[in-house]
Amino acid sequence: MNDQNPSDTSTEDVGTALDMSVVASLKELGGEDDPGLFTDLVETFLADTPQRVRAIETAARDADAEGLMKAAHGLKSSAANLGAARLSALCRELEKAGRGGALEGVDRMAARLVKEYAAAEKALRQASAT
Amino acid sequence: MSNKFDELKLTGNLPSPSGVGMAILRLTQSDDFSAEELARTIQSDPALTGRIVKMSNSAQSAGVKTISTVSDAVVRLGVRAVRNVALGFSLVSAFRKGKCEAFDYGKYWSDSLARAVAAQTLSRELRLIVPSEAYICALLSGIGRLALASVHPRAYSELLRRVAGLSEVDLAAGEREVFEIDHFEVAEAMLKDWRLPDSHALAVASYARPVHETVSLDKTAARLCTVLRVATPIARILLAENDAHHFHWPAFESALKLIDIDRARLCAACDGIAAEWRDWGKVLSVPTQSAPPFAEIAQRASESPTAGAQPAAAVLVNDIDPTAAPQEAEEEALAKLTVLAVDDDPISLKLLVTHLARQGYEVMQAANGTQALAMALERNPHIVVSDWMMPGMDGIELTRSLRKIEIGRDMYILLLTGREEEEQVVEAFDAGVDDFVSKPFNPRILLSRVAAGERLVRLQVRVAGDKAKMEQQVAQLAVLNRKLTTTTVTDALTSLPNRRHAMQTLEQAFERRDPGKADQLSLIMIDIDHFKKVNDEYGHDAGDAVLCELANVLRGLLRRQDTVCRLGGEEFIVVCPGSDAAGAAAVAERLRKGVASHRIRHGRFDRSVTCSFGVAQRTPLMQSHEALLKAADVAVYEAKEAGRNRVCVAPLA
Repeated sequence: MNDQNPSDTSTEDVGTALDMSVVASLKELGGEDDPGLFTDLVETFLADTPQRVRAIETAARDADAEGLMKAAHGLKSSAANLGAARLSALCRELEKAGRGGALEGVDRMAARLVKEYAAAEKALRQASAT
Repeated sequence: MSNKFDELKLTGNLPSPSGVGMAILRLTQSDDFSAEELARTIQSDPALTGRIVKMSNSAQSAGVKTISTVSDAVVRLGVRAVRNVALGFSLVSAFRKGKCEAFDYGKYWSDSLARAVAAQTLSRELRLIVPSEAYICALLSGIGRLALASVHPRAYSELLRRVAGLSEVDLAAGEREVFEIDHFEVAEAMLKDWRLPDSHALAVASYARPVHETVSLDKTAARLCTVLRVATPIARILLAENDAHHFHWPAFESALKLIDIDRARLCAACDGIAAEWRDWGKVLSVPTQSAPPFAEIAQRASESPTAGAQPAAAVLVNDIDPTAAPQEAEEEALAKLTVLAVDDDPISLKLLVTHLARQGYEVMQAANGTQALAMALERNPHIVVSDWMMPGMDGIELTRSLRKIEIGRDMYILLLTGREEEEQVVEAFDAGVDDFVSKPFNPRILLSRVAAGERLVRLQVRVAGDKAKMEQQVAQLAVLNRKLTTTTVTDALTSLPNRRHAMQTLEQAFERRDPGKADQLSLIMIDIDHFKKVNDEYGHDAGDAVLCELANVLRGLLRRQDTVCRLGGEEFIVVCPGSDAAGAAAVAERLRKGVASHRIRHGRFDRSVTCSFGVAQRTPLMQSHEALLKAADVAVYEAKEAGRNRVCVAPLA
């Protein structure tokens, strides 16, 4: 799903997908005791998230307000933890929409989420490689 | 009796199931849980799983297919039976030791287990009752003794020393003298409290009473009683020391009159019981011992002329061992505090764990509320840091469950909250949460909040010694209270919380100032109109009836968060946390209408009564809860002046 239109992800989006200060603090947290911490976190994130993104897409398509709220809630905090601020903000809006049952436009937001995730994924891979 | 039991319960020291046992209790509190849910909960504990499977195999006669999974066990034994057995086992693992010096915990469980195995075998042999039901009923038949030992460790120790050598019935008499309740009654109330079948509760309450006093019991309870009456002397024989088994034979012999079984078959069955008891002892880590074949014991009993005389100190299973050293007070080594981190999101959880571990805490982690509850009960962390919103059991429910049990009461619980939960902080504080940190957390803030919790925990540990003393005093005080006829917090006439409780509730609510808009508190004061006339014209009986009826009406019309108390005389108050004056006035109006339209009949008295209502809201100018009380009082006075049967609201000044 996130591989469908990788060309849509512009370099600019990737460049701003992550709050690098969060990345820096996470790397610092790992420090010498646990240098692999950041990479571990990124890998966990990349392993879990496609499924969550799919769940959000499905819930948005089926107008399943509760499902949308739950899936978005979960992704919201992991994204925020890794510094993917835009992705997290988008999840927050989706969660709010799900909670309030105001589902107009959520399919468009879900589509944006797919792109935003693709950008965050690339940025995280880059950050984890350096 | 139930009042006295409630007081024991209020001490928070009654035995309760731990870990998975608690989870099972929670799950089965409602009537619509599924067999799969139960099986899943049990399977989260491998040891318990093994025990349940063993149980369901041993409950069957030979030749029936051996089963190997909990799901099969549920099918074979039934959901209720599996639930009850699981509860029982979790109690065994949670109360292997305790503070009551003269109470031999190992021997207690050894005896209970022997009774359980004997009851199960007898039920199977005699086809009297479902074997697994007899097992659990017998396993818990002495739980009242464990309970009294837990709530009143010192006083119960003294009592046990005093009655050493006497029978269980004499012990019960001693208990009533000291505690105003005996272990049979306590056991009955506890079984009911855990929602075991009524027949089980009745049987544990009645089995030690003479047979002719229990003829009115229903069939199941009566059969359980019979099984317990035979199982108890078998257990005594099995636990006898120094070759004294045959001394207990006469009691067994007389119990045998209750059942129909030939001697050879009985002895074979009892030898089977002895073997199975040792087997179970290994499974549950409960001490057991070997006994001679029962045929041999019977033979010796018939040869020995002294058999009728009971040797001293052999009847009560919990008599003192004078050589036993008093248990050392547990000094907690506090070099490192343990913290339980709970989050369903793996990234957040990993970060949380990393930050806490970096700070020097010993960290354990759980990925959901249910797992966290089990882990908290098993490993007793000092601090719990949990996410709020999680699928299944969320942070609030986790907190509530922990606060319900003794060891969960001292834990420092910190909740991580998203922006969307902030409106519900009042609910969270009510559930017993100590503090909040908003998400995504700033590590420095989180750690400083955890450090605040740590200071508190260390303080608690330092005063733990004093606390033990205090607990003892509290327990003594509770005894004293039971001896006085008035209970401490309940109004005897209406069963509503009394004035004392009302003042405490109000004061606590008044002092609690939460941030945000939920920082509101209102009070409704209620005074019955012309109540004196009721008393004068219809007598005090009618007056009492009016008060009781009114209490019921008020109780039935309140919102969940409101508390109604009787201040005394014809005065009541309702504490409405989270409500402003308008909200409370709406409640008061509802109460007014409800009361005025409720007809009360008592003798000649046959009409409704009306009340005057005064509503007041806490304002920043009020120094204490008494000011709020005063404002509501003034408003009631105005309502009376304005013609009664109405609601007046104090001005917001």
